[in-house]
Amino acid sequence: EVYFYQLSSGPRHLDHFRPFAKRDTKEMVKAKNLNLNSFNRSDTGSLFSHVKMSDEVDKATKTIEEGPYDLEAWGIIVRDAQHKRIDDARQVYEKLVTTFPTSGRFWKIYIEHEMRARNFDKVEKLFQRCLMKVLNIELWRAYLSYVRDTKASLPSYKEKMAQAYDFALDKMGLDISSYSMWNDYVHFLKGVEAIGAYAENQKITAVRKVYQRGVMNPMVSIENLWKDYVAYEQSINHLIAEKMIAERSKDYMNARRVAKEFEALTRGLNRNVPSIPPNGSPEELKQVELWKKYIAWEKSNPLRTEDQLLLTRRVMFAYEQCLLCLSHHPDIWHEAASFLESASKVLLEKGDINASKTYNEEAANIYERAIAGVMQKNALLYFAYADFEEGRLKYDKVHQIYDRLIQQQEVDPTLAYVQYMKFARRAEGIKSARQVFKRAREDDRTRYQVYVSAALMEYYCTKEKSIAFKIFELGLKKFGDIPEYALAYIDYLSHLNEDNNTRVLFERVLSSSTLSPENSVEVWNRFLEFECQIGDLASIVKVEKRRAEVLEKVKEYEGKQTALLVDRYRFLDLFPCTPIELRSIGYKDMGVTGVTSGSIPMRPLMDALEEYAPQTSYPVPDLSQMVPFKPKLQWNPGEHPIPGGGFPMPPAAVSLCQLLPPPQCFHGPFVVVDSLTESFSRMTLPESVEVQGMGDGGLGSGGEENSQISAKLFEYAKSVHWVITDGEGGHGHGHGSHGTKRKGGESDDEGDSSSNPPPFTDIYRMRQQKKMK
Amino acid sequence: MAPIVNAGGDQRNQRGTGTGDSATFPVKLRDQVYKLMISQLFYDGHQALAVQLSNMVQVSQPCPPSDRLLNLVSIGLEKEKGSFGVLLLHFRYALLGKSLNNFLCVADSKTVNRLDSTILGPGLDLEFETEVPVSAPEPALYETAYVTAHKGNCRAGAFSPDGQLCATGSVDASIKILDVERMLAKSAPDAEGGSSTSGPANEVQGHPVIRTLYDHFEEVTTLQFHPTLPFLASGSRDHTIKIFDYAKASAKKASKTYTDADQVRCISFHPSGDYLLAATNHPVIRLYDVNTGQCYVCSIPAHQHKGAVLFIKYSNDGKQYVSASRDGSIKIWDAVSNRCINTFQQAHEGIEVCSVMYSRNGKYVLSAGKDSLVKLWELSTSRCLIAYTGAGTAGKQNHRAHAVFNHTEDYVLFPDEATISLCAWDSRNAARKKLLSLGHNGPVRYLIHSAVSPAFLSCSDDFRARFWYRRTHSATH
Repeated sequence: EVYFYQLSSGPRHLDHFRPFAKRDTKEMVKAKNLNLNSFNRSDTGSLFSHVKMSDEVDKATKTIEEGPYDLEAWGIIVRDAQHKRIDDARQVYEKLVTTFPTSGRFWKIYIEHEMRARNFDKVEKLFQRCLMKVLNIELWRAYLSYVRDTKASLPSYKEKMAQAYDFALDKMGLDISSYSMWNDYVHFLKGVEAIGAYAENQKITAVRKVYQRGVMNPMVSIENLWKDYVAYEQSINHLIAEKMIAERSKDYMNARRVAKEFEALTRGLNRNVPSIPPNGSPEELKQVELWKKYIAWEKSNPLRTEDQLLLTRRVMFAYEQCLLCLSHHPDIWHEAASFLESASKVLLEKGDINASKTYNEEAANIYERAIAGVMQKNALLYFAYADFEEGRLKYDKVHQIYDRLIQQQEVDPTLAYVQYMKFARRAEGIKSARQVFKRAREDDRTRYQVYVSAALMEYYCTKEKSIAFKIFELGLKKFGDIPEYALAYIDYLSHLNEDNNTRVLFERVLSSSTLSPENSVEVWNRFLEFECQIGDLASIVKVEKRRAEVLEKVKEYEGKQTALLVDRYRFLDLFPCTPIELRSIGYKDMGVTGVTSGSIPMRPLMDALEEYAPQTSYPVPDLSQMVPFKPKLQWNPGEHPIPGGGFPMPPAAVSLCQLLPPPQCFHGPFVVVDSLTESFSRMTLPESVEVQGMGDGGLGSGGEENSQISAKLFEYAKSVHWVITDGEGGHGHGHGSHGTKRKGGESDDEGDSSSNPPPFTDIYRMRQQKKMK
Repeated sequence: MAPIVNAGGDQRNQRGTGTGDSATFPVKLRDQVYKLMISQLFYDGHQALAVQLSNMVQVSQPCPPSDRLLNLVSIGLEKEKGSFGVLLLHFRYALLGKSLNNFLCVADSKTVNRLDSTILGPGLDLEFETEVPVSAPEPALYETAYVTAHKGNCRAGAFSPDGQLCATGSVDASIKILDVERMLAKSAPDAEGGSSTSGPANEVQGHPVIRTLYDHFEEVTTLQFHPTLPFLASGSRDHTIKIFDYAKASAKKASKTYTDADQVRCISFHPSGDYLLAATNHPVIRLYDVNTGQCYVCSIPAHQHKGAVLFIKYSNDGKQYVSASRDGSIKIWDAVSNRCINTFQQAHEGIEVCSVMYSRNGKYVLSAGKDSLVKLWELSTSRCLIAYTGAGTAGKQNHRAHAVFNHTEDYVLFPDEATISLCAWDSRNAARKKLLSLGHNGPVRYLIHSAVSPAFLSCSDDFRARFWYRRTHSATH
């Protein structure tokens, strides 16, 4: 067995401890060529890097003690461990695989090191520990090659190997890069010697079965498997082959299409990245996005199969793959479980009760795995799991789940108790909920929220005001120093509209001196608010004064009486001053930590203040300090202060120029602009247009009438006194009748203009005549 | 902990105020440093050196032997470890595990905005740290990941700001836009050690060239991606600057064209993307408003260059830009008023300056001259701080060549024309690094490094552009 280790270059890249298993020399040469540079470098580089090595490893070990998920530090440590003897390295590896239990790569490194030391019993144990949990194609390949290499001498080799292949294909056959596995299996089966016709037939059946399963399975290089299969069938029997192939080819085409999509979709997906807690880095976000895309694609049933089981298997395989890399992401766990749940519902509707049940068990299993593994401190998954079990009416199970969460020493159990109580109430009634509350009271880790929740539950569900009061009173003894608790109690009372009791409670809380002045400010604020709602002005002023005394102690608002006044008048997010004024007054929000519903949201004020803060953006060129410029090829000195250009046209002119057609489009006629503008200026248009009436009906109707009207329009147009020549003076003004045109003019065409041929240049008139004809 | 992060200004102040009175007068402080140095030299028994130094700097008072400098340095180093050291450590964390949250918990919100720069490490800042642990791969380790060929000499290249795309331009007037990830996938080495899976996989994926743009009439001389939008700007010898919207798959023609009166040499986008600087064969630098197409220039004729402007580049913060000219000078311009604020006359002994670029923090400018020298200019003191030498020894350089930083600013890269190989230096101590043979059959006419990843483009007269990359574990498989 030859193993290559690529130990090259910089200390920062994990890929350098990716082992290269080489099977034949041809592949070795290929890999060597590919990595020639890095091999050479490692030779020279390792000499002096050894000196630094131990130092770096120490540093890395320390880093890992602080944060166990530092991949770079692990890289250094693992690389170092690979050089050590296995007995020395084992401890490091154990720590590695407990930190990254889902990383196939790390398991593989560990196992391969053991293999080099030929500790085969250990190898087998390791495989037992990881294979079922870690569906990583690399790891499984390593497993197969291990079986192939070590069991070859055993008499039961063939059975063992076939079993291993079956097992591997069952677990990993859906992987996109599982082609080599299928191919190896087929070759293995073909290589089995069969004596006698019966055995021969059996062998053919076995090979065919694997082929037929394989060519329906979307994966990279599926084409090769198909080609092999076709050739195989043809080598057996030409006649049957055709039929067989025709039968399968549709499925194969489908699988090939899906394989293409599959490949495109999972490109960029890094399946070897060890699972670490989410850190929001862009690379991580990208991976998460890619995984979700892949899973959504599997859910969309790309194979268009009718087989619900196959579809579910494929989706779950995608989830399992994803969980290897993102096991610290609670959303994936939850989505996987809910997918199974919904799949189970689908099956139930179809009447397949057994399968439906299995899926439900699987969903529970997913949750179980999550909270038993890396997510054991994630309350969300516990709750989701509990609700799932509650949905299946397995209350014992739910109790167990909550128990487990509460027994997690590092997790604050308060929320767990609150949820647990709610569950107990809806599932088993208020008695059971009280039991839970009792347990919570005895647990000294719980915080005041449990009391609030229990009291409100009594109030809302059993309508027992007195019990709720008792609970609140009980809590007040324990949590009298927590303003949030006091406020919750006050809220409760004031919502009952018990003014006097509320006022008494205020006084009790505030005078009990369990609250430090800093903490009491909030309660004082609420007191003031309360008095503003229901009290008279005198009591408002009194409370305000007492509050001011407390604030004095806190050393805030010194000499800022007006600022305190603001609190009397504000309502929700309305303030009696503008934000700027508030700032100048020195008003500060004091209820920022308000948890209960009564505290006024300060966001709008903050936002308003933010607006006046200078915005950070890029400084923009100040165009007013520069001169507009139009680069010119032929530049005349003096045209512009800066050589090489002139002033551009003003923007309005530029936009007009852009609207105009380019000058090349115009081929005449060329108008004498001066006389044209002059005639425009001297022209008179009639006040009203008589032909309008006829035009109304005429425009839409038949051609006959239309031409008639346009003729009339033309007549009318002619009637307008368009051209006024010099000699006319004021003479022709106001004339609108026929025939007055050019009457007294010096124009050469007297009489009917239509009969006379127009001068050659008069295109307008030529056109008119054409129309008339 | 917030102030740590704004180390730039704060630290300088701390340093100053620590020494009391003299802090307000940097000259006085410097004088004091020299005095301490002389005292230390005397104390350590380097008499001759101490006398020589005191003669050279002409200190105001005689200095008695003293060990004070040593003590001060040890205190200072201790203190630095406590503040800036922490910062650096977290930079490293951010770099290493890519686990930003470690870093973010000590960083305030301002730094979060500059997340990109924190991922890449501190960059080049010689005021504070001269021995930064170099995390970037040495340029000699880069490998060609993809080669694309034009029908003419390849003279222009660009990387998109996120490093996901790059573009090449050629004398044949065409522009290609290439997808970095596809190029990498295309050339991915057999990660599985010779298993046949990845071979056919490569056939499935898309072609790396995602667009070919054909709208110029002459050589494309310069390319730049828009900082935020999917636009590519190009300048050409046909006197135009064109902007292509490459988000549309069908776009072959430019969506905007600005017509100049001279051959465009170089363009640079303002970081907001609303303005575009253009350097042409004419000495006057043009500023184009991208939206209106209006052109503006500096109002003072005397500020302009005396010869063709060969290279132009905005600083990252958009406050300044720098231009290099055939007249041998480098000019620093205020980007708001568009006026020249500093000129390095004869920056390369009067030989034309071919390329200039800012360091990320805007404190330094890297320039390359046709004399095969690469220089680092410190802007606060207006002087050449480091000269990177050794290129061009095998033969005279006939064409312009460009010097660039790598993405972390740990290295300076410059193509050597005679040997067609890449010279690399440590950017801080100018130590020469191993050469990298670029594999072109003609001189390299353009070189540009990605701003975010270990990747660069070399464009050559042999019609080809090579994409170089240093793979890391996350890039494979």
